[in-house]
Amino acid sequence: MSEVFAEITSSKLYPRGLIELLFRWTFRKGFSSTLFHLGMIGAILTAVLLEFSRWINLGWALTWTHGLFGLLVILGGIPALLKCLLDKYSRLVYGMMLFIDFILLCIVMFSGFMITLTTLGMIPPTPTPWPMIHVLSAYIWILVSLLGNGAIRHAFATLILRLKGMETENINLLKSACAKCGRCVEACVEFTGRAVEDSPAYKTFKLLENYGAFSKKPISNELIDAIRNDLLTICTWCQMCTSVCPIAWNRTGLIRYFAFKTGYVAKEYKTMLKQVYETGSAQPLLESEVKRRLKLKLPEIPAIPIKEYKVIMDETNFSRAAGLLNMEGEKDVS
Amino acid sequence: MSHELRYALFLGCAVPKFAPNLELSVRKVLESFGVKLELLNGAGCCGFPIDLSTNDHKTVYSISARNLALAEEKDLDLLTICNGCYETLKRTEIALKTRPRLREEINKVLEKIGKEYKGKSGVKHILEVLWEDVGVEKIRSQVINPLKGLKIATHYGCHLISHADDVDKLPSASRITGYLDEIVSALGGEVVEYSGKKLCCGNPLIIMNLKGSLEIAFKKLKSVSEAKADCLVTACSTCYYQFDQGQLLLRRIMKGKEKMNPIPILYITELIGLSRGFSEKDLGLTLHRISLKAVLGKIPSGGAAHV
Repeated sequence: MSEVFAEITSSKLYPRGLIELLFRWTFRKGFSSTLFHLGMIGAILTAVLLEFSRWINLGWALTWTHGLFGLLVILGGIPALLKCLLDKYSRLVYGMMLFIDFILLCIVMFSGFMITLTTLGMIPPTPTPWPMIHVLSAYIWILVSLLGNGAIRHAFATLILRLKGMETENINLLKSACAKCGRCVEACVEFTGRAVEDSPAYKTFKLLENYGAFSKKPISNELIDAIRNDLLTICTWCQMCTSVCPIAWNRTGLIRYFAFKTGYVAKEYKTMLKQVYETGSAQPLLESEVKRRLKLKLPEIPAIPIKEYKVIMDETNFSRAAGLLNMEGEKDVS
Repeated sequence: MSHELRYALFLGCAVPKFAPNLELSVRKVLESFGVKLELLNGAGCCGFPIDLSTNDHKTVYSISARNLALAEEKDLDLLTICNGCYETLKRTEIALKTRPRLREEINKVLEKIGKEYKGKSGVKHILEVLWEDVGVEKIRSQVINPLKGLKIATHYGCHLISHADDVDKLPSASRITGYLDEIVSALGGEVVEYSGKKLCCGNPLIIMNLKGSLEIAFKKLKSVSEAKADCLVTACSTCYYQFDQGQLLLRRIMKGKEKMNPIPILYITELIGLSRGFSEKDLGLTLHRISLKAVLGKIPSGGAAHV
């Protein structure tokens, strides 16, 4: 928590202060999306207050504030939702929930709009009970979206994530917070030049779906195969999926981390890590390469204090967890 | 010059091993602009291999912060010519500068080797130094042999612009993307647009899947070749190596199945060096695996810029 406050007060990072901190991810997605999120937060907060105002009379001003926020939701939401519906990556990642969210939210928005028109006297009162439809559909939407990993779940999980910090290892929380915008798959297709179904980002997404939150038990062979085939041997670790992600989730990194924590590091990687552990360099220089540098009249490279690397990697328990200490028995892949 | 520019050159693991010529050109070019470079005593792995294989943040930050602490002891900023090193060090720098509790935790690890990172020193990429510190105008005004008529395709390298989970905290992420193109046009070269400009070079995959890694490089090189570019210029030592050495390996793998003209690969400082009149030997261009004849033929020679 205190780190979040440190971030808020650090004006160098957030020149626009709290608003930017809350909406910095949304800002990146454009104007309509920002309007939609702003309106949604306001509308939900005022709706909660309205519920209480049955017992404490908070007056008509609250109703109108709720209506104004609702207008923002409609103005920003319609273009944002249409953009989402027309985007193939978004449809791919969001799945069925996109349509459910869309239809239910449309009912909420439309009934709210009708209430406003009727109250303003712009249309004659109709026999349709708009207020009841509005409240009921809103509750249904919140419930369905929360249970079915939809927009509301994304909203609450993102809030929790923001307070906990991004380096959480809670895959379920991250999965809930995922905005399902599909930008990771789009970037992956662009940067690796693969087809959508073959792209590491999409395969990683499927991997997380199929294996749930991964159990805490030792990793199974089946899962090792899946991680190798769907991630390690195809992902170029360009990190573009992370950099375009609205919640900045390093999905491909988290799976690697999970595998490491449950005791699996690919043999090819182990050889490289062992080099770092024992020499302080992933690519130690050969005699001939040192000579080649001298021939080019480049200054000699100062020696790396090998022991320091060992101390650091022992201290963070990395060398033991990655199995670097007992590699003598295993055959290296050359 | 009002103040002296001085950096600690961070070579990383791959440059001395695979591409010492890049270091040579960086030194020659920066020194000709009056930038002083020195090697740090005891700098080693940046932490990228650990990030790539296990994503264990604590170890990555500790190893990375150790290098930053070394620079801090000398009151210098690090200068890196490899995007992988840049990303890892930059992420550590930002994380430790903005999150005091995390810095404390990492400093507890560093205490065991008698080091501390206070969050003063930072890391700069070669493009940032060239564009921001040396200045693109100075580069433009000191061109001796303009690269007129040279069609150049540019490749940034993903890790320059993907600062993983801290991407939106970093102003330079969006700022830095135009630097390479601007420097190339300042030298008089023509920047060629080609499809798949964003495509990765594929290098980090090489450990797990050599063929897959080269296939990605091939896709990129093919579209560069289709755009009729004379050469491909990168700002990352690893991308340089992947494309340069990769073309030889590709020839062996493809076995004449698909034909592709060899594309000369140049690092940005090599290109600047050529435009400033340095000779082939000065820049160590003979170490390139792909012949640069086609490029060198188009650049007027002579008039060395030995300041």
